[in-house]
Order: sequence, then C-alpha cells, then structure tokens
Amino acid sequence: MNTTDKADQELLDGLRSGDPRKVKALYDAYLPDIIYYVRRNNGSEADARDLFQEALIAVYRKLLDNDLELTVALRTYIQVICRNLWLRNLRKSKRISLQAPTDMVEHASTSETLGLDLERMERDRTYFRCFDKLGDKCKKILSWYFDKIPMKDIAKRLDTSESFIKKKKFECKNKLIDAVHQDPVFKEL
Amino acid sequence: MSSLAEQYDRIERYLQGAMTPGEMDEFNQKLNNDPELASAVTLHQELAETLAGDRIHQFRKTLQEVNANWKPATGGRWLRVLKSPQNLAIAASLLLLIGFFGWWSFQTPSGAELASENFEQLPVQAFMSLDSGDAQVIRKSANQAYIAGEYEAAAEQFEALTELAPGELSYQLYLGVSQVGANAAADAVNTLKPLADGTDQSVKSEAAWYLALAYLQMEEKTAARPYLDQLVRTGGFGADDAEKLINMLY
Repeated sequence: MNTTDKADQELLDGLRSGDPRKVKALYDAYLPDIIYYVRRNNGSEADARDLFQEALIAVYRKLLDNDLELTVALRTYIQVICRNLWLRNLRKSKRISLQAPTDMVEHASTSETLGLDLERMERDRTYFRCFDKLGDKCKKILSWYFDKIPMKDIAKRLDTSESFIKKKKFECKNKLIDAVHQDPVFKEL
Repeated sequence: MSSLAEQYDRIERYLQGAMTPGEMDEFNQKLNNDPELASAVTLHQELAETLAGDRIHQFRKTLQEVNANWKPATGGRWLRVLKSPQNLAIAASLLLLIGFFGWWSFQTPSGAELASENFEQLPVQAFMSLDSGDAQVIRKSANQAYIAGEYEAAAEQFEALTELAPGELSYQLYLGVSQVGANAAADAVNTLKPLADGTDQSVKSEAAWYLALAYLQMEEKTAARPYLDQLVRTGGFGADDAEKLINMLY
C-alpha cells in the first residue's frame, strides 16, 4: 500500500477490521457522492449502493492480499471503480450517454492505471449473487471447500460421511455453475 | 460418477495440482483444443478464488447490514449540488434575489397595512336627510355605530337599510365603507364593485377608493390598480392619496 494520507489510512484500517461502525464511516464519507453521480446518470440509489459495495469488496480483497497500491486518494480510487462499473453497465444496457462527471474523478484516473480488472469484478458480483441463492448447507460446504478444508473435516463439522459431502459438494457446485450460466449479466460479459 | 461429476473432479484436480504429470499433459492438450473446457476451468478457478475465505463472506454480511441501516445525511445532497460552479452560481443568484426580495418586502408595507393607514371615514352628512320612518330609525342607529367606529354593527344596519331601499346607492356605499372598516374585505368588494363600475357619479369615485382599499386588504394589488388609476385620471375623490399609493405599490 502506498498511501500517506492519514484519514485514508484510518478508513482503510477500519475497513480491514470489518468493524461495522468503521465500515459505516466509509459509507458516510463516500457513498453520498456515488449516489449523486449514479442518479445523475440514469441510475438509482440502489444501483449506487450495489456499486459501492462492490468497490469496498475489491478494496477489502486487495487489503487481505496486501495488494493495494494507492497512488490516488481512497475517495478517487473508489469513485474510479464505481464510475467505470457504472459506465460499463450503461453501455451494455444502451442507456443514454453519461454526463461529464465534473464533480467526480477529475484526475483522469483510469481503472487500468489503478490496476483494476473491472470485468473480473463484474464476474465476481455474479458469483456472489449466485452463491447467495444457494441454501445454507451448500454455502457452508462450498465456502469450506474453496477454503481448502479437507472433505473429511467438512464431513466431521457437519456430522456426516465424507462420501455424502463429496456428492453434496458436486451438487452444490453444479447448482452454482448453472446459476452463473443463467445469469443475464454473466451472459453479456 | 456421472460424466459431469468426472469432469468437475478432473478440473479440480488440475487446479489443485493433484494430477500426475501424464494426466497434466493430456489435460493441457485438451485445454488447448477445447475452448468450452478452457472456459469451464476458468470458471472453476474464479469461483474458488472469489468465494474462498470466511473473511470475505463475513465482510459481505457486514456490508449488507451496514447498507440496510445506512441513510444519507439530510442536506448532503445540496452540498454536493453546490460543488458544481454552475450550480453554485445559480444558488448565489437565487440567494441574491431572495435577499433583494426580502429587503424589498421589508421596505414595502403590505397592502393590508396601506389600506389600514389610508382608511378614513367617509363623512355621514350626505344621507342624513334622505330617509324617514323605519329607515330613519335604522339610519340613526347605523349612523351612531358608524361614527363610533363600530363598523360591524354599522354594516349590519346599513345592510338592513339597503333591503328597505334597494335603489338608494348611498346606503350601499356606506355599507361598503363599513365593511372595509370592519375588515370584511370580500363583502366590501361585492358591495362596492357595482358602484365603482357603475355610471352614477354621485358614488362612483368614493366607491372606487374604498374598493381599492378592500382589494389591498386582500393583498390583491393588481385588482386595486385600475380603480386607483381611475381616481388619478378623473382627479376626483381620493385622487392624491391614490397617486401616493400607486407610487408606493407599483
């Protein structure tokens, strides 16, 4: 991470901690701008909240991976993510052209220069969306499996046999992959 | 195991590096020649990367909770709107206009204030000798109330007189003046307008003046204007006061 701004650092520390009060501070600081921007550009508050959540997840993931290279203010970084995700969304849905974002992202920062893979972020959104549709048991099995927990340990945690978990893991993963393939956003990516 | 389950198993073993070198070579060859298999591998890999980690799932739950409870702060939107120089200029112009209007309103008395300042009794002698009998009794009572400034009571008496002598325009005029005095502006307009718009010159100017005052009581300055103009033009009753009002109001 390459940021020297103290306020940004505090917000990032809050984000890393996952403390809801500190996460809310990020919402207070940055989400109103995103809502204003998206509303001005044919979107709703709900759209803005979705984009913002995605941006925070992207930042959080980079924090966990020690891969966050902030060469701009955190506010700008988050705005770049949201703006570009929204641009892609508008282009795909062929809604009217975006207004010049005079009050947002004025520093000509592009997602590429900030090391962001927006297409991957959109796919991630789809994956989470489809994962959310699964039942609780499937969610548990798959998240443990993706966390590389051995099958026999998962079976122990769920008080069942390893063969049942293997079968169940396949069913759950198949449901997830089917849902991803059926997802209209994913089809357009 | 179904063929799909077998495919999943092969992809997972490939991604985990659990294949033998021979299996790996064979699989790599298939990957190079089968775009569907290649995209399936990518999907399995991305799902594992994206959905791995309790912390991410926990973090998403936190975000969902914060998002559900978060509400924009009141007024923030206006601050953001003002960030734009164009919007700021518009806001500043509006503030100036509002300020000027406020100053102007402060400097200019309301119509009701002006009506109150300009209201004076019309002298009563004009109809003193016109009535007799019951009318004379009522007129006397009306006259007393009118002179005492008890305009509501006076208006009741003059109204009774107008019923007794509908053609007597002076009763109607004094009824209207009493109504203005009692701040019954709408009634005064109904009473005085036919006289001010009529042709009888004995009541026309007086009716026009008090009608203008009634309109001012109602803050209908535009409606008062033609009657004030009429008084100035004809130079009749209240012409000077009408001119002053015009200069103050318009």
